Amino acid sequence: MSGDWLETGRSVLEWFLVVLVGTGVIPIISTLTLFVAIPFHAFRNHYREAAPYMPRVAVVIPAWNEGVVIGATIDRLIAMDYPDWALRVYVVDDASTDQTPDVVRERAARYPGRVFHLRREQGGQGKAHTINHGLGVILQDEWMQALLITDADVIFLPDSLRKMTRHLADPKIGAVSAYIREGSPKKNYLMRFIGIEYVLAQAASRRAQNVFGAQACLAGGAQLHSRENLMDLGGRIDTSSLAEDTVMTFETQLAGREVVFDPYAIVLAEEPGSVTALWKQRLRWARGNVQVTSRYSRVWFHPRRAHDLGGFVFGLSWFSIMLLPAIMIASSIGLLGLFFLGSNLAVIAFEGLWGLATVTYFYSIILSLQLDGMIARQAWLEALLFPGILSILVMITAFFPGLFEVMLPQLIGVHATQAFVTGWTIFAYSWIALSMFFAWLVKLIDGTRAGRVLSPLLTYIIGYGPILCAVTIDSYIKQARHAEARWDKTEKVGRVTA
Amino acid sequence: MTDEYTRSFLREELERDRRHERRLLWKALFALAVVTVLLVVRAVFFL
Repeated sequence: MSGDWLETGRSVLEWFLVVLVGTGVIPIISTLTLFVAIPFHAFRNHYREAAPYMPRVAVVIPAWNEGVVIGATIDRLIAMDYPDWALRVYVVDDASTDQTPDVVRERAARYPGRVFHLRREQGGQGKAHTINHGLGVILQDEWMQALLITDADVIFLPDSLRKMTRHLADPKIGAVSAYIREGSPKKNYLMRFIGIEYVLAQAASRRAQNVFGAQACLAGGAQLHSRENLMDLGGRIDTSSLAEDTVMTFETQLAGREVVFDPYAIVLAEEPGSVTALWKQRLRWARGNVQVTSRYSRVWFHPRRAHDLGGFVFGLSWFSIMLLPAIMIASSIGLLGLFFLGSNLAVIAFEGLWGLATVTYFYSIILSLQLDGMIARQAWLEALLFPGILSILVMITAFFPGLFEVMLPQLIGVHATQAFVTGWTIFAYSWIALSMFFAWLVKLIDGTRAGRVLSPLLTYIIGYGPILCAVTIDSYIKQARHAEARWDKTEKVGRVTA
Repeated sequence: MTDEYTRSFLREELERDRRHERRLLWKALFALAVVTVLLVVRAVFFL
């Protein structure tokens, strides 16, 4: 009798562990859905409704100690292929203590009536407050028909703005987002990883979001709003969140207007060159996303006629990213549990989960590399090693069973011992969770002398993806502890010159 | 005249970008082909 109970208990535990492993399928299916949708952008895009349209655009640039980059940014904006009479640049100087005021005043004198210097004597409240200071001035008259919010380091290509404004010819569109490309001419390893990440997250994923009719986030450094949209949202930027760009994106769509991404409107931005700087930037973004998740709790998975934010695919995609670290840990626990239980399902679950991940990874990375030829040429290695060398080895283990345990040892004339096979199996099953711990170690050593050599090496071995997941865990912890939510500016040095 | 020229140029640019998007189909097919090759290799040599 007790043997029956034991058998039933074991069976229940076994299936519970299978379910834990199965949670790992959710983000893979979500990614696959997005990337399978991308080719449909060939037909489901906004180009039919777009039309030549060049409204009067006010560009607002929040700037705090941006003296190194702001001059070139203004010059590039003024030099765009856009009518002189229809473009004004407002730099909102957030009490800078460097040469920013001098540089902006000099540009205001050089381009009279086109560049304006707005000074906040008391600054430090963050980007949204700074933008709102500019909006207070811009909205005093009726001149502005569209508002472009950008950053002090973002370089616009000559055709970028007009490729954004053409979508506003359709009154249904409330806001347009450009494609932000990592623009440093000499990229270090991390900038190349970021370049690939932006191809995946913007050029690829935002096309899919166009197809599904709901955009998750307007690019903070290149978002264009119609005046009507801005006024409907209260004529100001949300200041209650660290992710004001995501909030604006959601509010626009909740108000019944659409948000469009144009992959041919390309802008160049300077991105962090060290893991420490990346962590700081992404922690702010991740904490903002945690705030957005709870703020719009009534939106998720509640389909509405007025907008597509409540759609299943959109919700699946959002929560797959938000819960990815927890899912990775659950999958590892499930696999290790099955292994130590001696279940035959361990191998099936491992090969199924990682096999699907391998297929999804190759399909999405090969498709993405074709979406931005320039980044593909500069960062093809980082694209291939995006999940990390160790994750790729685990993928190979799952996708080509027997290769490491039997075939390769035979090829070099050795025999893989049982201890090696067991050790490698335990490592492969646990790596998905362990990778985030090692990613955190990369951050710890990044600031040290050894980090100069070890950071790049470990990033290739452990992977760039796990670093982003580790940041997400850090954001949960900081939010749970109600840690101070500061606006930490990412340092810019003026690398991007286009 | 200039205005009409600009509009016509912008319309052509719009049409060009719309045509470029059709290439997504071939790009996706290429990605699918690579994945298919991987699956065939797996089926032939590892199953």
